[in-house]
Amino acid sequence: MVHPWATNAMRLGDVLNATQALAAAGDDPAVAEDMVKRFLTILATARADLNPAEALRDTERFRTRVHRLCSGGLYLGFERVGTAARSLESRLTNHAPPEEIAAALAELNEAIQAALEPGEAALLAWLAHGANTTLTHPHKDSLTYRLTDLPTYRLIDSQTHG
Amino acid sequence: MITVMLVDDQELIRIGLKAVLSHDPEIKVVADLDNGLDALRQARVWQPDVAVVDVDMPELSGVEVTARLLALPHPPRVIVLSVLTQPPWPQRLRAAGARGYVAKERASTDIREAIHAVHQGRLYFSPTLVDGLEAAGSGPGNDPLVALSNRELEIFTLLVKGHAPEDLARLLHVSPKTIYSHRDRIRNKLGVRNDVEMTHMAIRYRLLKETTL
Repeated sequence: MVHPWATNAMRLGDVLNATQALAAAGDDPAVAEDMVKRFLTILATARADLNPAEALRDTERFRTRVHRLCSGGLYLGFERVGTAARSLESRLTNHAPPEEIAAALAELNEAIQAALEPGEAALLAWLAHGANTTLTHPHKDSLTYRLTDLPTYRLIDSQTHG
Repeated sequence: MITVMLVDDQELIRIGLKAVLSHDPEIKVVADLDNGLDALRQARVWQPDVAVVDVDMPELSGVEVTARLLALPHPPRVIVLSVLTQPPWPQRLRAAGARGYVAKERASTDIREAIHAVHQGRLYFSPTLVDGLEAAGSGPGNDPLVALSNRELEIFTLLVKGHAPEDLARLLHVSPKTIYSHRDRIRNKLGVRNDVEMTHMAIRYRLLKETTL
């Protein structure tokens, strides 16, 4: 039987590669937290705006927005979002048939939904967990409290499951 | 001390790269900018040793920024950041004069090494890019597609995928005559005589997979 914490950790790991997010922030957990918050804000806006009507209304603006999801997602470790956005951007750039673009857009929206579903607190806890397990950093203690503040997405650490 | 200018339209990435580079005592970020035009202005002021430039930015693309940075009286060495890791893009940026090409998903791990390498006069390509180029049998610099402008490459790609010139004209909001002119120029640059030879070239340089035909 898979322990609930492991299931949650796997889901969060599918959304955010915490090791990459920390590396992308120069291994500074505080900077990583800020970057993840910013990207989640971008994702929340994108969820509302990325739809076929918008793609038809202003293709170039739409492509730019998709590119930023691709670029930010790949850099920061939101791998599923980044990969799905890259696929859509490639189709937009190559003027793929509308049905291919629609399919790629649906895939990207699913990836965005999956990234937003755990919520900011859970992802930041996942990030802090990554920081605690991989780094020794002066700022890390300020982030650890969240590990035990999350009943739904509680993560394992040596103190609670040791 | 190596002075560096960062150019990326996403603040998120500039914040991250500055944090990454702050760990290197031999590197100093002297300017970070969100567009190519400001980058050209600030490059004159700061005269950085290295410019790290995103390929895809509004107003002025990374290809144009690279070419114009290199035309300055004190040109920086340019490293390009991109999500476009498949040929012909790395070759195109190389042809524009970029000394380094870093895949965005590897930027945090590769950027310091890339900066040191180009500052020492060497070329730098992210390892994943080098693997891809070697697998394609086309190292940087010997791909004829780099001779095409961005617009020509776009039209070339659409033509070899089977779009008729009249369809392209509608798609790109230009006259069919314009498309025919582009096609002739593309054929001249590539040294091919017809659409079949263009398609073979697209496959050879991995712009097109045989399975997509």
